[in-house]
This record gives sequence, structure tokens and C-alpha cells, in this order.
Amino acid sequence: MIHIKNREAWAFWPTGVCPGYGHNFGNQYINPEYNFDIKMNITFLGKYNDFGCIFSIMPRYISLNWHNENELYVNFNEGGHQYTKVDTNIKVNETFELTIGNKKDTKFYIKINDKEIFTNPTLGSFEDPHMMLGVDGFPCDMDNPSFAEYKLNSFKIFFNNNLIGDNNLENIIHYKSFDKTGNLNFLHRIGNKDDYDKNG
Amino acid sequence: MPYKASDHNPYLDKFWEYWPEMYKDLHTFRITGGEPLLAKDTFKVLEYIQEHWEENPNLSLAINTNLSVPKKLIDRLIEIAKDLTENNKVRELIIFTSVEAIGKQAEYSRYGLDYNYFWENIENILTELPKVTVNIMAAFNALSVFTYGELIEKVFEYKKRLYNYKRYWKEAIQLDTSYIRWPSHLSIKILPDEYKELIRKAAEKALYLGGHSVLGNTYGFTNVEIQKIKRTYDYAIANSMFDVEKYRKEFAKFITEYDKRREVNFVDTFPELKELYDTYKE
Repeated sequence: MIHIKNREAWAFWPTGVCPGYGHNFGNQYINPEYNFDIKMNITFLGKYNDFGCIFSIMPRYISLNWHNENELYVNFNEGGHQYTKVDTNIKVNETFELTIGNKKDTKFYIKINDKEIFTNPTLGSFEDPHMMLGVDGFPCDMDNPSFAEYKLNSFKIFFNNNLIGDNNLENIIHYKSFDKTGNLNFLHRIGNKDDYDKNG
Repeated sequence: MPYKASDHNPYLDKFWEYWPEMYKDLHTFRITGGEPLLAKDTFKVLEYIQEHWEENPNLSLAINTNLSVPKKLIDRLIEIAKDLTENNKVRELIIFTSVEAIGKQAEYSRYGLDYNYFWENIENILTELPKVTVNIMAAFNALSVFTYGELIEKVFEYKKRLYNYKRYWKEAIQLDTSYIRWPSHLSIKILPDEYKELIRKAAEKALYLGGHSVLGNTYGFTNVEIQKIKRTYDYAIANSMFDVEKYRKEFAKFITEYDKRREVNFVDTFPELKELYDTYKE
């Protein structure tokens, strides 16, 4: 389990550490041309700002944001930020299964406990896609990031229904989780703006 | 014909004739060797830079050393380097050295190396000289595979402990992995496949110990350091015209002679390769 909280967000961006190393880096499959599913088991704990961002996909901006117990929004950037309030919500201390996926050339979707809460005909393609967990962007570039707090109990990546990333969230090596599949699809804790201000 | 240290060397005369003029416009000056710290002219050059630095305060200075010379020479280097770096008499100073295994296996591969003394010197350089970076140029060979993962961990410990923003390269230490192709009998291609896997595991270890400034790990192995270990594995497993049988025989022959001439014991040092050695020795 990884405890994601204020100033302790994580990222799924293995190519950010060593681009070109592997041939099965899962973040490269966040693309409309691929069938992928990212499945996370989450125990939600709250937020630190107006919105608590559960995940965001970069550089094209897609995010899921918890406002309060009545409002959960998807921000899908398609020529501008578009907030869509979804008809499902999650409560503090609730554990749920979050799925972010794509059917090749058909649709992009977000599911909570297998219920589709958002869909769009296209995901849109972009270079070096990556995913932030518990924050709405790179905290090092932001004055007021929207951190969320939750326990990430599992994080798995499927490509064409095959498991290509299964993180052992108990085994943390130099701020990285260990991918049991051997595909190096690890999660990575990310730094904050004042870490850089402090260090120069 | 090489000149003995006691001989008059006209190349040195010419160097010193040109040096004052050359120094003013030099971008990078790297002293390689032999072992530069055993040459008096190395210290003479460094002392010249100490005195004339205002003519070229932007010099990138690099010195190669095996870090196995007597302590008084290392101390002298540290004393001069402290003056050069703390008083901004050079733009940067980097010390290049070499090791590609740990402990007894490292000492066997580089005859004359005192492994603990080597790291003692790295410790002294990096703690006494907070602006200096040490670069380990590892010549990855068939004898490196068994302990390279541990070397990666050791280098990482230094990266973590001694990282600072005063160093020109920020990181205290770099591991620059190149693989040996010649002599072919020391190439990793002579190894059984199961041992080549150890290289892949070492590359993965470096990846997990990797750093990324945007992600917030300011220290750790860089993309280049990781890729060069991975490249070594790719070389090991690549199909090629490499004649494994021929070079395994040459390896065994080389080891037999090396043990005899250096009075060392391969099988005691590398029990992992006993079977291979026994199979191919004459």
C-alpha cells in the first residue's frame, strides 16, 4: 500500500526515468491505438484544496477530481478544459476499484467498481503520456497543487488484456514501487516546488 | 621508443615551451597517463594553474588516476584541487578512475589494486572536495558480472550521501560503463547465458536506483548511466560472429598464465567460473 497524501503524490512514468530502456513500458500504451486498462484499488481519504485530484493524465490533460461528497468531476481537455460532473460519487474511507482504459479506435473510459462513469469517443494521442496519482500536475511547477489523499492498495496495467504491470506497493526502492512482472512498470514518488527552491 | 623517467624527454621540453601560450585559450585539459600522479610534471602543471588561473578561469580540468598511488600523492592532489575549486580557479574539476567489480574480484581483474584503499581515496576526495565529481570508467568484462550489482549499490550510496549543488555535475560520483571487446577472450560474450542475465539484473537495479529531476529524485543513476549498462547486456546477448569456443579456450589459457605470473588463484576468486575454466583449460 502506498499512502498518497499532501505533498506526497506519485507518478506512473517509467519512460521519464529511462526512456528507451524497455519495450513494454505501460505508459506508452496510453494511446487511442491501443487496448489498455489501468486498474487501481483505492481507499479514498480526502483532499487538501477545493478539488482533490485522484489522477491526471499528461500531457493531454484528463483528470478525475473529488470536490466534496456530492461532486466528482472529470476534466477532459479537448481544446479547452471541460469539467463533467459524473453521477457517481465516492465517500471518505470508501474503498473502490478505479479503471482507466481504452478500446482501440472505439472509446476511452473511466469506471468505478465496473460502472462506466465517463466515456469519450477518442482519447487523443500525445507524446510520452504519463499519469500523476494524487495531484493535478507536476507539483514542482505549481504554486497550489490539488492534492488528494488516499491509500493505493494495488496498481495493475493490462495491455490487450495481458497483465504487464503489477506493483508490489510494499517494496519501495529509491521512491519507486517494484513491478512484479519484470516489465519495469513502476510508480515513482514525485517532488514538490519547494524541494527545488530549497536545493537550488 | 618510450623515454625513461630519468631520460631527457624533448617532448616535455616542447610541452612546457607551448604551455603558457596554450593555457590561456584552453577549454578542456585532461591529463590521462600512464598514471599521471606518478609524473612530476602533472603537479607542475597543476601548480602553474594555481598561479596563473586568472589567465583562464573557465578551464575544464580532468585528471585520470587509478587511485592506487601512495597516500602522499593523493593528499597533494587533494590539497591543490581544494585551492583550484574553492577559489574558482577552474570552471570544473573531474577525476576519472576505474573499477568494474568489488572486493577480491576487482583486485584480481586489476592487479595491484587495493580495493579498500581505492574507496578510501574516493571517500577522501569527495568529502574534502565538495565541488569535485569522480567518474568511474568501468571496463565491463567477463569477470565483472558477479559483483557489478553490488558495485551499483555502492556507487548509489555515494550518490545519495554526497550529492550537493556545489558540484559542477551535482552528483558526487558517476558510473560510466563500457564493455570490453578486445581482447576477445575477456569479453562477456564468452559467458554462459545464465551469467549474462546478471548484467540485465544489474541494469534493472540501476534503473530502480535512477533519479529524475522532474520526478523529484535529484540523485540517482542518470539515463545515460542506466542505458550504458543495458547496452552491455544487449551486446552480451546479440547474435554475432563471435567464436565462443575459440575464445573460451583462449580465456582459459590466459587465466592459467595470469595465475602463474601474478601468483593469484582464479578458481578461489571466481568459483562461479570454475566449471567453465576446468572445461576449457589444457
